[in-house]
Amino acid sequence: MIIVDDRLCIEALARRPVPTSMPDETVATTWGFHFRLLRALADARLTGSLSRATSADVRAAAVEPPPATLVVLDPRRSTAMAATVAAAHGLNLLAAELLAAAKVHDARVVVAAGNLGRHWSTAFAAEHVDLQAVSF
Amino acid sequence: MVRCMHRTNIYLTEGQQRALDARARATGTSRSAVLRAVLDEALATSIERDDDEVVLAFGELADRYLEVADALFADDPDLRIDR
Repeated sequence: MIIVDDRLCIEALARRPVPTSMPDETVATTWGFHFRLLRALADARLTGSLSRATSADVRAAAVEPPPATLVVLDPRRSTAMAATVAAAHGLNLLAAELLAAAKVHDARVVVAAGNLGRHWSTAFAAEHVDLQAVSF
Repeated sequence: MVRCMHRTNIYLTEGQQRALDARARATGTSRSAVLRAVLDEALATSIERDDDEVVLAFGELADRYLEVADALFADDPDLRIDR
């Protein structure tokens, strides 16, 4: 399983290859990044100039993506682990859930380079989680 | 395949009715069967087109996404990216 950030969720929803993902590999995201995505899609600055589909159609497609396209992980499975790694590495909710989900699901993490937090590389390495950042 | 059907009444123009009857005769089926086939084809095409438009819209959004998200969550300690 590969866990991605909100920016790479868009790649998956656009049916474009998610960088570094392998064929038949499950592409998943956390509740926090899914929330960020849906919150951003609710903002007219992002969706106001869509030339084809309406912003409502786009939001609807992102709310419940087909599991073959993108799986949204249940945060309850990783809450305790998220609290632990947040305390250990000083991570915020978004980063702690990402790291914890990767540990719980034995997954690797890929994020957009612009979404890489300052302390993430150190924290993920300490927890033995594979973290990659990709540029577009 | 067994299809669950619901009876409904619709108004057709004379031209539509003639065209349906002509196709039904040509294909050896009923006017209702022809109408169902036409609807199946038209609705399936519409759903596929809508889906394609949504997929293309995500492609359009990709380039602007990070900048907008940065601005949205700059003041949210739980959701911002600290660089």
